[in-house]
Amino acid sequence: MMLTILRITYLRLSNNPLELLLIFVMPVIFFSIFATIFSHGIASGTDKKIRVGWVWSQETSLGQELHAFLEANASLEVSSLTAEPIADHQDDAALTARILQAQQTGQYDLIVKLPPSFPNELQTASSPHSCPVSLITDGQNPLAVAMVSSIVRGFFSQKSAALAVAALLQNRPRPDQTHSAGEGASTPSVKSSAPGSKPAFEAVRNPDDVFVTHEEVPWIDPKQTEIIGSPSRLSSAATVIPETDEETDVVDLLIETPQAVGQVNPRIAMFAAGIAVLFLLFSATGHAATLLEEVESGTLDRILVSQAGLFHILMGKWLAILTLGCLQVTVMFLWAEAVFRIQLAQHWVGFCVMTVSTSAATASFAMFLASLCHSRAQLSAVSTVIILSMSALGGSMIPRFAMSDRMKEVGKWSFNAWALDGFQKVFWFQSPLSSLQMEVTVLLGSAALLGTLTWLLSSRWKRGAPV
Amino acid sequence: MSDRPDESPAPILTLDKLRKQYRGRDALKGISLRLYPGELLGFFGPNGAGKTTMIRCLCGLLKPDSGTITRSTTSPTGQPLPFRLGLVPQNLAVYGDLTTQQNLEVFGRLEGVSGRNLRDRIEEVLEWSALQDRRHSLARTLSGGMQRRLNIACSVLHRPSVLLLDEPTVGVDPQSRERIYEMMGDLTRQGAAVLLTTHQLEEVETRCDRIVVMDQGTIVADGQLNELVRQTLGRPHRIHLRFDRPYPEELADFEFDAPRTNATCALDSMRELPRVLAVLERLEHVPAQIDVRSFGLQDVFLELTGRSLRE
Repeated sequence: MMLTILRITYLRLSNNPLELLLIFVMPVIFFSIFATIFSHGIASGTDKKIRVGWVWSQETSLGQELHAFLEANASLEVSSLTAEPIADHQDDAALTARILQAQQTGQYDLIVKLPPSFPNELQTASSPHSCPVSLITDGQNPLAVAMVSSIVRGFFSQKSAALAVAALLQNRPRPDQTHSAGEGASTPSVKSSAPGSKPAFEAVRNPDDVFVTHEEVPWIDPKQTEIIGSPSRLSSAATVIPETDEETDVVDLLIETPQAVGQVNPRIAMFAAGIAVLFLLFSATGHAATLLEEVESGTLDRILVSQAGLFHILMGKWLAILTLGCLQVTVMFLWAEAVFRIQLAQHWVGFCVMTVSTSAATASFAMFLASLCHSRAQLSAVSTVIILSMSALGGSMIPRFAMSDRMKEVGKWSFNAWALDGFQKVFWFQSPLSSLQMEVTVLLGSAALLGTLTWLLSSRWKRGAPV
Repeated sequence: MSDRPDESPAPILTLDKLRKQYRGRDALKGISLRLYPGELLGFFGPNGAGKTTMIRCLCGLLKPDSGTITRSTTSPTGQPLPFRLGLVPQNLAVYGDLTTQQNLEVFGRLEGVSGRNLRDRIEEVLEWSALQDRRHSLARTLSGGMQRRLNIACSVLHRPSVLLLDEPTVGVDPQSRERIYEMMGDLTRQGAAVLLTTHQLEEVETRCDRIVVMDQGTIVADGQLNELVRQTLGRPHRIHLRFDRPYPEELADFEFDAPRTNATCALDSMRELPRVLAVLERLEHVPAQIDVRSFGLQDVFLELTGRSLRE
């Protein structure tokens, strides 16, 4: 009996190619998508580098060294934000605008900015002068902040250590002087070495030996190199790495997030948008499936025989899905406002524009899928594959900053990417409505195109249609 | 047979030489048909005969390749009257997650009925279909018979002049079936023409004013039952005698088969039966079996369409 039941399952599956597709092909598709994202994404450290923008107020030798140090790092891709150093304070506003523009276009993961007070060279280890360095982030890629902060601190630690070694070598007694002092009269450095081990400074022939390449600095203790400035010096827009009470202030690392000014919890809006678009696609497709349900039950024939035509039916359904979609996204954002304080009221115009555009596109997309399929089962299988793929590529499942540029380009073929970019501009970058032109055009254009295709594909149900 | 109004001879719907090809074969091969106001027309044929194609052409859902469909827009008294069509699909074409009343409301609106008129019509139709008590029940929770009645009710809110029903009594208990035919009777009394496709031959025999048999895309018979029987089988009644051994003599009115063990006599009316049975009193051998039967629609149907299985 069990074998018969087993056979029934086998026969049913073999008669349902779509179910087989879901069982066997879906995991392969998703594995491929995620594998592609991560193998060419940030985790690989090869194709996907952290894109660092570089801007300075004046060229200094220390700045050049830092620039070279960053450029030499295999995981960074450094390029200058401006052709020339920005020396004039009058250009500050222009520079700020340029930085914001670069962030909005997603050109950089992080911008390193050296202010006018950045010294020409590092002071001696005994009397170090703090070097101010600003790391400007749009907050999307926290990994970039952590990595670049660490690399910058590593640079200053090594530089500082090199200075200290140089100073020690200068004051180091000659070997004959050491011997003349007799056994047990060693230098402090020798004292610090374990008995029988090689003296620490014996390996150092030159101060530059301390300044090792970026690739391997295992002897640097990050805690000892975490030297930062006082929070009181920072603007409200800045976040500061916690101050340690060790060592001296070699680098004054200021991490700025301009978009965070006046915002409480804008990143949550991004998550809300990502989730909302994903569920919008699923719910829209579910509602569009009623069209096929009506075809199967004969209700569509009954309606077509009435005073309603196919155009009324399709438009009515599209409007219903659009309205439901808008309400669905609104409820999600209202919840996000109530619980996570995303400041919806402050961005309500942009929110409305993006919500209506996104819902229109998803409604047309769902209707298109319904008109493409011949049964609800077919629609269910097809929509699951397409929606999950779109969501994975478009940023609803994986943050787009974690994707390679190629994957980001591919993601642009999904609604999710355009919708998320639009919501990001509204809530995160607080951009004006005009900046949404591209996103709204793409979404509404898609809605129109897919709506037209839906109309063409639905003609098989039209009154008087040829068989 | 119910009486067809003599004062309304003008057909409300006329099909003339309708042709339609479907997937490379002729689904309709020049169908011509007239439907009259107040008439209940039983339309049946084997599966794949072209009934559904014809109904879809009548509804305007399919465009015929050639031929014409003429819809009358004048009442039997000559007054202008809008042609209104109602369709009751074979499946339950109602929204299961709407209540009975909500279903009536939406389908009424789709037919252009609104406001007070719609409210009044909903009340009338609820009473007509005996669904008043279940007006607030979700359609999917209704019994099969109730769902069928609702399926019909949703198509009559706009008072159609022609109602097309595709097997409206499938899977329905006798009580609900009786009620459905009463509903159709009400409609025809109000002047609507009702075209009913079904495989329930007994119902067609007893309920329909006229019967049309369709096979392989053509109408093979059209008329009242008696006419159809005469056209296809000759006399409507038959006496059959079976003998244990060959009967040697001739019998008046009876025809013998070759072995002379079976004899049949066709009658125009059952009134002739006593006369024929009187003949049997004088037989030398008493028949082993005597059958008296009247031909019905099934006989006509099988005679016209054959016994081979269809789609």
